[in-house]
Amino acid sequence: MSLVLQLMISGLAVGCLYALIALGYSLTYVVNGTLNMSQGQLVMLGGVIMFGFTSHAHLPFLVSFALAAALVALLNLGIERLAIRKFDRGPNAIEWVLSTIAVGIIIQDVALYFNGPDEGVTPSPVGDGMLRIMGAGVYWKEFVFLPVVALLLVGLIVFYKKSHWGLWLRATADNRTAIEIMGVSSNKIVAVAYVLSGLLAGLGGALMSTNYAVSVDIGLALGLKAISVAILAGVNNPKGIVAAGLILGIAEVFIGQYISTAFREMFVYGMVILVLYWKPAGLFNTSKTVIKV
Amino acid sequence: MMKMAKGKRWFTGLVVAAMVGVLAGCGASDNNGENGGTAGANAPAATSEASSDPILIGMSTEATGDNAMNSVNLYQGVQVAVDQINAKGGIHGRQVELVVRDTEQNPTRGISIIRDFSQKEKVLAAIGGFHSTVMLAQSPVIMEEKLAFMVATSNVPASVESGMPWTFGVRMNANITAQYALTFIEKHFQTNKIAILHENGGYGKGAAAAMTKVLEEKGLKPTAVETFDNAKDKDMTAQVNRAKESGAEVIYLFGQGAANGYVLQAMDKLGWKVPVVGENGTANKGIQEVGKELANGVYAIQTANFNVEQTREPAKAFITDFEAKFGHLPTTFASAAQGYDGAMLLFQAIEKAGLTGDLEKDRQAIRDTLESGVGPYSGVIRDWEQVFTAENHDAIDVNSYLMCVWKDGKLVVSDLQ
Repeated sequence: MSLVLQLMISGLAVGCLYALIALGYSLTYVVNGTLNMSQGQLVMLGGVIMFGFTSHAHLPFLVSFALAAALVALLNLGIERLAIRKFDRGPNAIEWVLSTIAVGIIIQDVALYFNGPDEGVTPSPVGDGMLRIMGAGVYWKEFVFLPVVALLLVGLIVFYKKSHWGLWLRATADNRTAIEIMGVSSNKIVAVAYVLSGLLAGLGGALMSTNYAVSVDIGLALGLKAISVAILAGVNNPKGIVAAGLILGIAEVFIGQYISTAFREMFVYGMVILVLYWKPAGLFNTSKTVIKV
Repeated sequence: MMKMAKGKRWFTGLVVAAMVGVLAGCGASDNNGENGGTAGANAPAATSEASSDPILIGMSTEATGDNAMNSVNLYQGVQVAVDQINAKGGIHGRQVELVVRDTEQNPTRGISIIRDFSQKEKVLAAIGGFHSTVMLAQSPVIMEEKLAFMVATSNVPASVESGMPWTFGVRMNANITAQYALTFIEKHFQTNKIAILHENGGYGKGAAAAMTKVLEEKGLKPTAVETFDNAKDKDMTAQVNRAKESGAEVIYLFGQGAANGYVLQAMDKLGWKVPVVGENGTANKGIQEVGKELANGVYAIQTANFNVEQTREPAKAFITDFEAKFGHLPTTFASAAQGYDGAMLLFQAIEKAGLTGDLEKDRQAIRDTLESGVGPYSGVIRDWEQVFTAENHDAIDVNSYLMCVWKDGKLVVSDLQ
């Protein structure tokens, strides 16, 4: 029993990470149909900045955290302006795929130039202690991922539901032409979505660096895993994305334990494909153009 | 002297510029690395004995990717060797110059680098071989190109053994390492119940196969063999638990850096404490970053340790020069030491072989000299009488190893040897 609980908890911790990163994809996808392929590298950047600010510049934890998120958000604003806006020419445009992949490579190379290839872990303010639940262990520094992800999710939903920006975002997702006719600049809305998505990436990376080693090359692998979470859930459903992230995290650990560690990726992605056969728009999705909150 | 040192910034600039080009919609471009390393240098014409042209040595390294921080040690070790030989006036009055290439941990790129060394840059010999998957791909091509290559880290036996006349190893051959490790484990932990946890690339697979083989020779089996993806897997609960359930009393751990730390975390969560023995992967600081105090007591098989007072004269000179040049100690001791000794052996072979100016003949002469005539040599790792023979291209044997262990955030020489 304790083993099953241990596997669940371990899976949840790593699932939170997937969920957090995958949320970033949803924000931009819904408003203009673009997935920022450099999302993983943005998360990496958040983590590396966080590590640099706390461990090399010795800034306080929260200051570094805020700076990491803000800087990545700002960068994503630039990315939207330079690598998205020009290439997003309606539903059939795919140029943005190449442009955002290119941006990801640039981010990684620039980060390598300044940071070097070192791996680092930011000391967590909650320490290195372990929480024991019925014999199963989880580090406090991982355990805090759960409430943080929950908070971010609630924040995002409140933003969508209560703020006028959130309303505009949802409206843009539903019908971009209509919102232009109403006199709202849809470019501005897209930019806002990118800033928020960058903010999430920065936060995700900074948070991640408190338990996992961050180095300049972790971005691509993370981004790919998160994009499969987002697609599995249905990209426009934030709650679904968090659920899918957790499910994937747990599934990985259980498949590793009960089937094979060597073939676990194969099983996980095989499952993803099967789910998409069954529900092509994603597990928790109904319509492609409405944000489900 | 180092082309890369100057060229690197330009190279980065070039790549960024190229990528900005992509951004502007010019189309894909990923081949700019081709000329980056030697920008501004002309490939020399056919060399002659009297020529004062530099002696070119190929340096195949991983400057990018998750192994870069470890791989750089090998490169730095070689650089120290080059500086020392040049300070002494070079080889036969000619300075030694490195032609540096980044494999990006990509086997395909690794192959084209060997072709490049041989055909375009016309190097006399080459050194490198950190990343095992890349090295495995490079080995047959090295044989085709008839170019002596010094493998200074990669543990995979096949890259030097099994009829490879052109590759020579100053590295911890996984087969020899496994024998050494098993002897160590049996002697000090009185057990042979070993679980192998390894990353799924050439490095981990080579080590797992070697340990399985030495156990089988004794009629034994590893209790469990579990794999993980070094770049992707962050949670090792399943792997560690399977090892635990198998009744293992020692873990033979072959991941790189942080991934090893995740293994320690999973052991901690499962409340399982057994000795952990690894090699270069547990020697670099990623395991310490993630595992913190959990790393204490983890063993790392090395060929040198620079956290302690050096007793050997060449080692003293090496580490003094290394610190003066780079401002810090090597982070993976074995790779730095092996890079240095490997380069020095190559230089000795070139010196003894003598150069005629005919590239093909010179390469052949260097290879033949390496095989039969190198030594005595007093290196960082140890003293050699004759380093290589026709039957044995591996310079490092069980007596060259040094068991190290993590203690309070530092890798020190283990009391148990």
